[in-house]
Amino acid sequence: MFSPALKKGSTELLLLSLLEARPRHGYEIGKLIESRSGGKLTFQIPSLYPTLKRLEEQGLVSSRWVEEPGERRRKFYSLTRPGKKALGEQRAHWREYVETVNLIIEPGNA
Amino acid sequence: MSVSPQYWVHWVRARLPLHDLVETDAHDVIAEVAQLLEQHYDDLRASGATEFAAKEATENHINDWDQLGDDLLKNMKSRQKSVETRALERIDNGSVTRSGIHWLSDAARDVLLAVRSVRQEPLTSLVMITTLALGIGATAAIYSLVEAVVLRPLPYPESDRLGVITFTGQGVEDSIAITPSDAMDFAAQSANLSALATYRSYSNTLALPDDSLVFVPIAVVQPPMLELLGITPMVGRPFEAPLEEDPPVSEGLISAELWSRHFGSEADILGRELEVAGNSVIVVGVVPHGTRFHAHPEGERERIDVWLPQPATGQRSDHFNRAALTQLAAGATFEQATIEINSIAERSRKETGTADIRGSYAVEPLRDRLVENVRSTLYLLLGIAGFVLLLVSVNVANLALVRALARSQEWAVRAAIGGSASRIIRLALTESAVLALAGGLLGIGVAAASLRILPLLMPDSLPRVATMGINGSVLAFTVAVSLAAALLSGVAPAWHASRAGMQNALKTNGRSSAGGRGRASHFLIAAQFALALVLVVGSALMLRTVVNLYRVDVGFESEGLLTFEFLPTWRMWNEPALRVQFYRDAAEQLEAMPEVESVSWTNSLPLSGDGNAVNWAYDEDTLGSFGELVSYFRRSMPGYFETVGIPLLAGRDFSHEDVENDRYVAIASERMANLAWPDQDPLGKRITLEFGTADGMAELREVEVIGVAPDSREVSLHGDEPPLTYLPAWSTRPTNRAVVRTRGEPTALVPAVRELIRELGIRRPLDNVRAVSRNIDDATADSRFVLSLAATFAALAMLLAGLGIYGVVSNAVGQRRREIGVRMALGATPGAVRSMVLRQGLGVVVIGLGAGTMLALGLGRFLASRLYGVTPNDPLTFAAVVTLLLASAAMACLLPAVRATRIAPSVALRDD
Repeated sequence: MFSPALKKGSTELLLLSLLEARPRHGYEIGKLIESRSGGKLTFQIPSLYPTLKRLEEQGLVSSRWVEEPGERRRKFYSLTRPGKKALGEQRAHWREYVETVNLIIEPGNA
Repeated sequence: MSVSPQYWVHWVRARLPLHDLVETDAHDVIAEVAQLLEQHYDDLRASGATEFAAKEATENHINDWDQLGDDLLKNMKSRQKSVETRALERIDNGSVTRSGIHWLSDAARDVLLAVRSVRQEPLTSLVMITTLALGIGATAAIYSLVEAVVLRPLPYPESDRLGVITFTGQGVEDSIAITPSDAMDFAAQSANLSALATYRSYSNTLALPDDSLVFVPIAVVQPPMLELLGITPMVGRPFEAPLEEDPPVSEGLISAELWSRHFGSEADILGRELEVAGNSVIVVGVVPHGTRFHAHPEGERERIDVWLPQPATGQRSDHFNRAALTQLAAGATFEQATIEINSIAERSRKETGTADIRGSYAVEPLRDRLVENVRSTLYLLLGIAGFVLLLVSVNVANLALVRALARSQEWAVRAAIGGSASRIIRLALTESAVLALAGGLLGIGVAAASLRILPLLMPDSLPRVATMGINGSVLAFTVAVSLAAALLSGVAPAWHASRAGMQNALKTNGRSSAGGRGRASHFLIAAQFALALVLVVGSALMLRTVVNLYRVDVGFESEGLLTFEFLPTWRMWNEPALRVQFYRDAAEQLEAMPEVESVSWTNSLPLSGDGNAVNWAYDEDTLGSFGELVSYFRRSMPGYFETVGIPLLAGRDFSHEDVENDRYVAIASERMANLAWPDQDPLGKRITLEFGTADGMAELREVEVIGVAPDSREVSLHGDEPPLTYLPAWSTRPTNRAVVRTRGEPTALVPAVRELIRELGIRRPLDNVRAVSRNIDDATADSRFVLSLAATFAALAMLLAGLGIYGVVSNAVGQRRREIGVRMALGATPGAVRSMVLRQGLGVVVIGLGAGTMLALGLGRFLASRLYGVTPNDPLTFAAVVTLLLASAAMACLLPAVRATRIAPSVALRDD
């Protein structure tokens, strides 16, 4: 659908925003992106998982294994305090970027 | 049949390359990726895919495993294995030790493991390395001083065969002196000496190309001296000795330093005529850079600027007015040479009929002689530095022990998986060695920095210090000392580690061995305080010594006294009347200045290091054993006593008539009067002294006592000193030293004095211009040097001991949170808890201080000879030091004690 380059630039922001509401496990995050984008965005393990690990390394998310009754053991990721701050900044940047790009690419403005 | 979760774990583990990730993280990642795949598979199955299709799709979901592994590693940097661990694995896989030398790979493993654990706790490691660096650096700095001054061979060919000739008798002991006759005989007849050269050195004027005069160090030596010292002129040739006394022109050599400083290293220096001490000298050669003349134990005049040959007149004289350097023949010993030259001297005296010289010569190794005065001081300092090193090692051992405790589990695991006790001990010791070598490396930096500061503290009298530096010998010593420190600081933790391995520390979380650690740790703390007490007591005793020395009544008023030396010109030298006239004129002119109270002249000042001694007798008995009684003597012009502030006790000062008519009169010191005529009036009594005559011989003359002066300190500020005889400054004897009593700061007068001397038509500069109070500073220089280093080390010792007890008490409080919490919950007051912590901390300190007191009392004798006005076991000093250390330990314990009382019971109990 979208080019890998375009996706790559926004993966972090997507992951952070999905973790804003509550902790989620890795598979759920991938599924959510797919369903909320109406199938236009899909992430496979090889692109999603290393990004999650990077966010963890940067201290923006934290993870722990959770075993709920009747469920299998899964790793849940949640947003840390620095992660919340980073999400706010990235969100603002994204909006500004999109508006700027729009300014340029709208036919009327060219 | 459904695919089991384990299937996906195996699937991922077989494909995802995570070798460089820390094991637990790799395990984690594999589990998580497997779980993701499993969920994917379940999803596919739920959406209706067949088992086979779902499995195949899931297996193909990740197609580039290597890329995924790379991405993960890149994104999980902090979880990667350390360099050491990866190197260890390479060793284990055999890729490093293809040679198969097993112990080498073992050693490499140990070092890598050690480096890894050192890096795992960077802060503790840094503290340990810094502490070690201070101890090792201090020891290395003192060692490099000892090495340069005492241990290193002299920079001369076959320097171990070089010796000086000393004489004992005639009232002198072991003094570097020889008569010209004996020097000639020894050189000609001795089989055990291959060469002998007499020398003297002094400072006098050199006329520069611009006609100004500067003082330069001059050595007058017999030509064989150049060979003894291995001096080959870099330009020109060696000099030849003139055959007559006072030749119109003499040949001479100048130093390369003088050549470049004042003559621009110009080639036309050869053949040039220079004016040295008013005489003509033709330069025939230049002595290479860095040549040193190590002939004076006081370290003075090591760099000679002008070398002159001693005239070879062949004239015999029995005055002990020469010094001789000699070289043993190959195979000869100093003892053989000593026996031989004494028999030569005896034979020659019988032949020439001068049998009345009592005493004997000895040939002593030059190097021993140079350092005999300073050797004990330097070894004492090295000993003190060794103490500091010991203390540092104990301190680090304590830190290492804390660390070993924290790692009890690791050691237990190692033991459980088959690590033998010896292997575990080796691992722990290797860790100490890695720390100590790092400390040693940093210590060399500390030593290099100290070597820049040391010269500022050192007394001028230390010989050969200019060559001090970090060289191979110092580096080897540093490595040895570092390894010793490693062993010292590593034994306790190694022992603990092996014990932890034996015990089942796994299940008890390491607490089972806490008791053992506690005992070892308490022992180490006690040891630190014991060592610190020894160092602090030592420096306190030195401090009291220095204070006492400054309180010594030197017998004259040094404050406000200025002195300078004036070297007469050749013409003034040869016309005594002219010289005496100059002394009187200069004194009158100086006294006319408003800032000057009075002026006089003498040949030497008390505590200036240039005194003279003479034999004396006061009755038939002492005359019969002439040569046994020794007196210092001083020549002075009228007004000397008034000027230096020595009020005469009886009789009168010298008059100008005494001076001008060379009268045989004397002023005796109080000690001399009490010795010779205890209950009589000394005035009018006669003493017999030995005087040199114009033809170089000696004669005994009677001198009438016309006055008595109080004693003054002459050579040192403490110890017994012989009596003193004052003689008038005869016109035939030089009295070049002026003493000026000023109304203000003495040195402020120096420019005016120089100007005045110039106005008197004298173009020669003044030498040795200084405030006399500096003589007293010089007399305390050795003690102050020892004090400054001892005090620095003692301060370091106190700091380390304080940090040590703080660390241990803090740790103990941390471990006992629960207990303290319970006590407080049960109603213990903060005061009670505080005093419990204090009591337990200080108990150890008190034991250490007790042991340290014993040790210090035992070691006191090494300091006894350097103390003045205080005994090595002075109770007051000990009491003060014990109080000081106890107070500082209490301060160090108080902080954790106060913290202990802030533990809320509920928090303490919830812990763990």
